[in-house]
Amino acid sequence: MLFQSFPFVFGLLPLTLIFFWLAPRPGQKHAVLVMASYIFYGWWNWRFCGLLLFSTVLDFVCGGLIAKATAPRQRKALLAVSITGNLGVLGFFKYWDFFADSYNRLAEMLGLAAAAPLFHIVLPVGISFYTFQTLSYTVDIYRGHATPTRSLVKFMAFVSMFPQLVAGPIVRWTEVDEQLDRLPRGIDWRTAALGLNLFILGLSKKVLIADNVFPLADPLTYAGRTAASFWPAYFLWNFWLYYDFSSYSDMAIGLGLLLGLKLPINFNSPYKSGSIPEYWQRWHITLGSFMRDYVFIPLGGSKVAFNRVLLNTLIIFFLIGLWHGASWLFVAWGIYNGIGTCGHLIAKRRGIAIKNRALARILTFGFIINAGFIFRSTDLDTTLSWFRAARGANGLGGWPDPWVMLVLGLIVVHVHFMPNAYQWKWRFTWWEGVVMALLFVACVARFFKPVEFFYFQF
Amino acid sequence: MPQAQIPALENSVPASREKGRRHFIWVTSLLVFLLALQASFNYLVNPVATFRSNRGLGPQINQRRIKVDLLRDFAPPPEILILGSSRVRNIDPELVGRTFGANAFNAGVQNGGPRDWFAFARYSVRELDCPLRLVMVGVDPDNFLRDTVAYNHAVYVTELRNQLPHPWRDWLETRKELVSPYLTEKSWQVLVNRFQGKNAPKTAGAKLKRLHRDLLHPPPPGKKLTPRADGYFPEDSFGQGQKIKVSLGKAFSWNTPFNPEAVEYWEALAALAAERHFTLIAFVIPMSPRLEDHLDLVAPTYRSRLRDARRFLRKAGSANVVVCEIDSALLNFDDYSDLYHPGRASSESIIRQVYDCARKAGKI
Repeated sequence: MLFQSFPFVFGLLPLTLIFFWLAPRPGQKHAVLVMASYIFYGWWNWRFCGLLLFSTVLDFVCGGLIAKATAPRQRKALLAVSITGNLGVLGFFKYWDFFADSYNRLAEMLGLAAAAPLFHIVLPVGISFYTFQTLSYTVDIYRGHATPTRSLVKFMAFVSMFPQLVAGPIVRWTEVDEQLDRLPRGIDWRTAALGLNLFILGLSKKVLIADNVFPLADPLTYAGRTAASFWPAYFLWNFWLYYDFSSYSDMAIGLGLLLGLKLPINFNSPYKSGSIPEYWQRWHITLGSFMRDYVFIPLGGSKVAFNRVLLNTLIIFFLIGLWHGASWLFVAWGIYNGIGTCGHLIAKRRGIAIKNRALARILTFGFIINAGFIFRSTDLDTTLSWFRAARGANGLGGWPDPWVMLVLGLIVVHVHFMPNAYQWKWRFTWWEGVVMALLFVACVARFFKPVEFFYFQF
Repeated sequence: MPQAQIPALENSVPASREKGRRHFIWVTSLLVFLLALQASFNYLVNPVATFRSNRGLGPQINQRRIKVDLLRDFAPPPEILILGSSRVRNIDPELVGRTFGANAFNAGVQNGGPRDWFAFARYSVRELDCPLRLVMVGVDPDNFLRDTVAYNHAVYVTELRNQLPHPWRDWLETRKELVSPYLTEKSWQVLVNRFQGKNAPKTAGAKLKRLHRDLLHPPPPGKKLTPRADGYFPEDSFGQGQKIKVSLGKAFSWNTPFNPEAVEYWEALAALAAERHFTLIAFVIPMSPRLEDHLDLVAPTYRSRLRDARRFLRKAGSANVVVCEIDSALLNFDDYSDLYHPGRASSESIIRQVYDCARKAGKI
């Protein structure tokens, strides 16, 4: 089920909120949340609910057993079961065909006959997100950072929580454990009002901005473009990606607040970054922090030799690339970001990092924007055809379309210079209410042509 | 490197709980009010005549609504039902009745497809207890294709919707339409035309008075809204162009596969025929050869899709289903007003050919 759809906005959401607010005890609220979340998830394909349930039960059991076990070897074995189970499911559904295909190509090049079977598996929506969530539970219990819950329903509510189930933010058990126990009786009006505003703003970002910008920026049209029409479209595509993904997070956080839950912020004006590491503290924040806490720090973090830090950084970004999709282009995109981060670390160590904030922002933005050549492409030939169009192989072209330039200009002002949804100081005035209601009504008109979120494929 | 400060959500809202409550209620009430306003506006104007609010102020009429009303009032209940699209509109039930020796009703509707056929047939036998002996279906070659069967106006008529497998889901679909930008735009157009139109009163006050009357009360039925009691719409009810339209190439370039939903409706209709012991006679209505020649140039897929439709009908046949071939040599294409819709003379020939076919099949 999409957020920007009639069944969700006029059916599941209001019904869930009513039952959730009316339920007097946290346990009952958890049950309402679980039911709503499974309906939400099963709307795509009810069979995927089984997979979600498998992940949930596996980690619920493993987490409980790890907490009870006293022998280190036993604890390690249980953690290994959880990690293998989770990554096994993720690996099979998301990466089997990719690795099998890569293996087959390599075997063909080497003249070997071995052929790994391809299953052409349909990727369950949101599997990359909820797998990381359940994994964080057992790892945190193993490390002693979290206590397991005895309530399966509460744990199911954590894993399946519909606001962020399919495209993040990636929520950790430690962030919501206490919140789930202390869900307010009735309605917390302050957070509910903020949640409503954030949901409507996120909805507007998606259906009024992202979905309208995309036709102007569709990469399928890039190859034949002149340079003058390529670059505005290319910039717009990058901004579209930001609006599309961050709008989902805004809506998720807004929905969380409506339920009385504070979910972590996932985007914090990423294009205002002055370096690549800063960018990764502002873009998909929860993925970056997950990789930092569960991979980078266990590898030694920043406390090892500098060369090792650089290697660990590259490993992290390799994994981030792979997380995004089963394709060598995503891996290349991850490595590209890793090289940018390492470059900044080296420059900083040598004292040659750019001090001028404005210049640093421009350079960082340029670096990030160029990553789109790899991120959005489907193969190397496509990337090269875009490069050719970008440097004017199809001609420089005349003046760009004024309409496209106007849209681009407005978006640049918005993403580079204006406060984001979380920095806004709400006063809950009547006119704020009017703007929110009008935005909502405008969004409903777009429900008739819903467009899926780009990040659903991850 | 400056660390990115993550904004604290709790600082972004006023501390007052009461302010939050008022804001929440204000926003939700306002958006519900605005949506209700839009829905009421579209319901009252009813621009494409899909709701029961009135007969529609726009140029369109809801044939399904009219035909259901006529069928309900038709006495004695028909033994023969004629189904199809606007291309069966000249099949005169009186002539069918005389030829087959039973009273007939023409339930053909504009853009009628398998969903309409099934709904009308089921409504007749289940709700009206019609002693159906025969159901004649004039099939268009695109009736079973994915794109064209999406025309869903049957769901706007309660009696027909209740015959379909998911009446509640369909009902929700119709309510959804009330806030669609398409309908809102149409409503505005209709209202502006009504207000500024040639026949509108001169003064603004009189215009508003008329508008008020039109919105709240059904306008008197015009000539085009008066079909015969047996569902027969006179030929000249529809203005049709004489020329081949440029868009025909696009309209008949069918590349889409068969629509499983349409196929299911056809199979359900055949099952209903078996259950209620009536004969289902299907026939593809030929087009004017002039149009077919033109389509060979602008819509190369047309002929193959026509063959597909015929093949499907033959394959899907059962003991109660008879598929008749209409010999186009016996038709008079001069009476095809737009090269597509058979006129009276051709329709009479079709009736005779269907009769012969049914007799040969031993069904009458």
